[in-house]
Amino acid sequence: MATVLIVEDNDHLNNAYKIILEKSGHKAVTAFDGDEGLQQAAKTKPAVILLDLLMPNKTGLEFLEEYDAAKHPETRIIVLTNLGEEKQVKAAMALGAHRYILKAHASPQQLATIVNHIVKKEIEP
Amino acid sequence: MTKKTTSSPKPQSTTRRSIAGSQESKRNNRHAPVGFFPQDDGYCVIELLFDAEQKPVNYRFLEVNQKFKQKTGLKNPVGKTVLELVPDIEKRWFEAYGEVALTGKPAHFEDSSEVMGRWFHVYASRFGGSESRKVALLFTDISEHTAAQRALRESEQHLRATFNQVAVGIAHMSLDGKWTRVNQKFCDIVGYSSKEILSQRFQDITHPDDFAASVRAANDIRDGQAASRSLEKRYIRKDGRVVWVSVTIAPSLGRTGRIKHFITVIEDITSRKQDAESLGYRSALLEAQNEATPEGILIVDAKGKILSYNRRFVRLWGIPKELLKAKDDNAALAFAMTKLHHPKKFLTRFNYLYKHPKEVSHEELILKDGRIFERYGAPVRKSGDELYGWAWFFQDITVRKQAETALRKSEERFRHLADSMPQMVWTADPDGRLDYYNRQWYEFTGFHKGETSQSWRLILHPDDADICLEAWQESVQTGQPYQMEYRFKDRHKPGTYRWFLGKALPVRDQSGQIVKWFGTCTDIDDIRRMLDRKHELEEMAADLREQHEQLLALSDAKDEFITLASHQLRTPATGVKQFVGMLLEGYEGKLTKGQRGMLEIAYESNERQLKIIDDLLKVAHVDAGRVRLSKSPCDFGKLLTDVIREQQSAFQKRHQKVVVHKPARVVKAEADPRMIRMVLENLIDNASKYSPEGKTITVDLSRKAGHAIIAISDQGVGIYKKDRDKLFQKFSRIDNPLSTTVSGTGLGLYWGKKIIDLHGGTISVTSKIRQGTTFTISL
Repeated sequence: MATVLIVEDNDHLNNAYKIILEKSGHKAVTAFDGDEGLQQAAKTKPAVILLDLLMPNKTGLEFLEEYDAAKHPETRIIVLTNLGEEKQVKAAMALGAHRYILKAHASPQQLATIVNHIVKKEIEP
Repeated sequence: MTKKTTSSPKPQSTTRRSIAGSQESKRNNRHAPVGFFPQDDGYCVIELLFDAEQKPVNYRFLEVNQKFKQKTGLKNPVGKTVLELVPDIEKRWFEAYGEVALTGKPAHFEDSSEVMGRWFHVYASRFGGSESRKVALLFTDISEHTAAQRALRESEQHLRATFNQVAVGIAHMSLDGKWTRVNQKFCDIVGYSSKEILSQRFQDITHPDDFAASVRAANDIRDGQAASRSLEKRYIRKDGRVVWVSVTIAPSLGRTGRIKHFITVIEDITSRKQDAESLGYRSALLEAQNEATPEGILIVDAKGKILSYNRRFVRLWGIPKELLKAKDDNAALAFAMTKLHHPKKFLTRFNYLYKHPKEVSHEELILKDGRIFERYGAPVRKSGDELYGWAWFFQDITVRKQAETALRKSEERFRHLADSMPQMVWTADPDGRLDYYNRQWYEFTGFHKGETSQSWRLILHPDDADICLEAWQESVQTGQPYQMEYRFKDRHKPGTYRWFLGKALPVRDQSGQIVKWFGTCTDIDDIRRMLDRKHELEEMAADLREQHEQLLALSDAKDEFITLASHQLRTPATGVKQFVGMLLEGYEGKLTKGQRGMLEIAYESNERQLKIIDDLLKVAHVDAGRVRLSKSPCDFGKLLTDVIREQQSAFQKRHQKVVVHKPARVVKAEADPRMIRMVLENLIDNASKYSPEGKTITVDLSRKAGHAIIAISDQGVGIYKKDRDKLFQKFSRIDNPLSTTVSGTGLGLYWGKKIIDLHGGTISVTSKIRQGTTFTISL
């Protein structure tokens, strides 16, 4: 079991991810914008962060800049967004994201599988 | 008193009369009888006659002596009145004698006789008592004395006039050098008034350099060594100027023979001195010119006798001195002829000139040693027409001729060069007058060849003429280079003009003086038009850049829109996908068969929507040229294996079999693996979807001619030939028995072909109806 921080401004999706992750046995912590996400990350020190990009207060990229993944080597960040432009992918990866997944392409099962693999540090699907 | 023309002595001038009162007259008041007086004097006694008012009006002769008669010319005057003898006698005589008679005071005076032309001294004295009206008169002839005095006076007047009016200065100088008397001319010479000069000594005005000589001259006279001395010396005038004078000094002797003073006669010779100096100067100047001139000069008289020559003449010809000393023109001529290249021609010309003395000649002589002389000859005449001789001038012009030859050759080269230049070339003199045009000028303008006086206005465009010509004038005046663009009439195309670039540079000599202007007219019409076109194109390019910027901005805006639109479109579908997916995965408990069926339909519908969104976005990107390939060595065998494994569940679902043929050797090529992967996913998915259940899908990987070849074949319904061209078009759907049941956006093949094209590869299709279709990619 691991602590997974969900940073997603859409209430329904945030809730769906929380259900999926808890069912997989993880402790899900939620935040609804970039600022709150940073606070929760500092507070809970999650193993995995599911990070949306298009959010109020601070965007996902701003979150990444401020969070500074290099200082948190034990935390894996999965960008989970519906922005699929290459420049966004590159920017996120350059700021320390571990995976970049389009929300629309990930079913609940796939999402759970990916997180589980990351937590277990297994080869990811 | 018979002779009327004779008159008694009568006074001539009151100034010479002394009627009474003087001591002398008292001393001479005599009362003597007639015989008492000297026989040389005339004597008479008269009786005054008075009128009623006691005014004397006449007198009567009572007694006369012989001398009186002789001196007066009156014959038998006794007893007669003077009016009887001399009716027009002046009444003042009555008054003079009447006063003596009435007062008794004697009188004496001098007067003259007009008839006799003699002067008399008259003594008048009352004769008898106070009542007597008689007066005794004594006449002394003083004519000679009076004449001597008058002559002396006149002589003095003449001397004074001469002294003052002569053209030379005359001055008396005391033995100690003081001026004692000067005339006006002397004052004029030295510039002082007579009053000023009389207060000075000769030393004061004598030039210091002449002082000693002046003193010596005076001493010689004083010491009796000379009767007079003359010298030329200088005085310093009052105004400071120096005046040259010729001075003659002579002594003025007294009765004892001693020198009273010096008499000096001074003549102003400044002008003469200046003339003399000027003549000397001119002679020296002429001599200097004669010797300084680069010309050899020979002067001969009318008979050919050598009169003079200068050193340059001797050096030029190398004539021996003894030959010239003989002053024989013929000998000199003979010598000169030995030096000449064409002596006979020279001699012929020489003889001709001597026979035609009025001609002035100018010729060039070529010497055997290669030198060239310029000879100029002119007759020398006296004031009339008489021939005095000949003047011959010779100048060595070899260097000049060589320079002229070099210059001529240089000009020829210049003209040849100018004619071979594409530009029109011209030259002008320092005043701006054009004196040469090259061949191109005449060809273009059509002006008569060789003409240089045509006005440019004839061919200049009216709008350019004034500014062009004014600029040229300014350059000529200031010496600044000339540059201007103007249009010339194109005679080959009437009514049209061509643009020219006109340039001109001044050519200066070593002293910086402009000796020539060198100008060109370069045809820049094509360049000018190209520049105009270039300018237009630049403006168009600027417009296009602006439009491009606008398009980029629009494109960015569109990209931004697509990005946001895709996000906004995906987000709701994502919610559906997650929650329906959770239901299907049993998050809310077990589903009935009916519930599951419905939810699966909902899920698949949502998936199709997401697929459409993805395909639309991909097509939008590729159409906008926004796809950037990230190429790397791509292992196509591994790529195909991954794609087939990912889709394995779909094949199983349809009971389809996938067969892969690939060579043992790895097939690699430079490609964007992510993009190629998506293309292969689409093709394999299509092969599965359009093949009936239980069929086999074959994937062949090979290498051919350096290209990776991937062929994906199905066992589907096949595609009619007429439809094959539509396959790679946007939104194309081919009608076949499976089209209605198979979901598709009609964008996959369109996008796939674009991606293969971007890789520089090809994608093609072969098909057989009811047998199957093969898509082949070559990379």
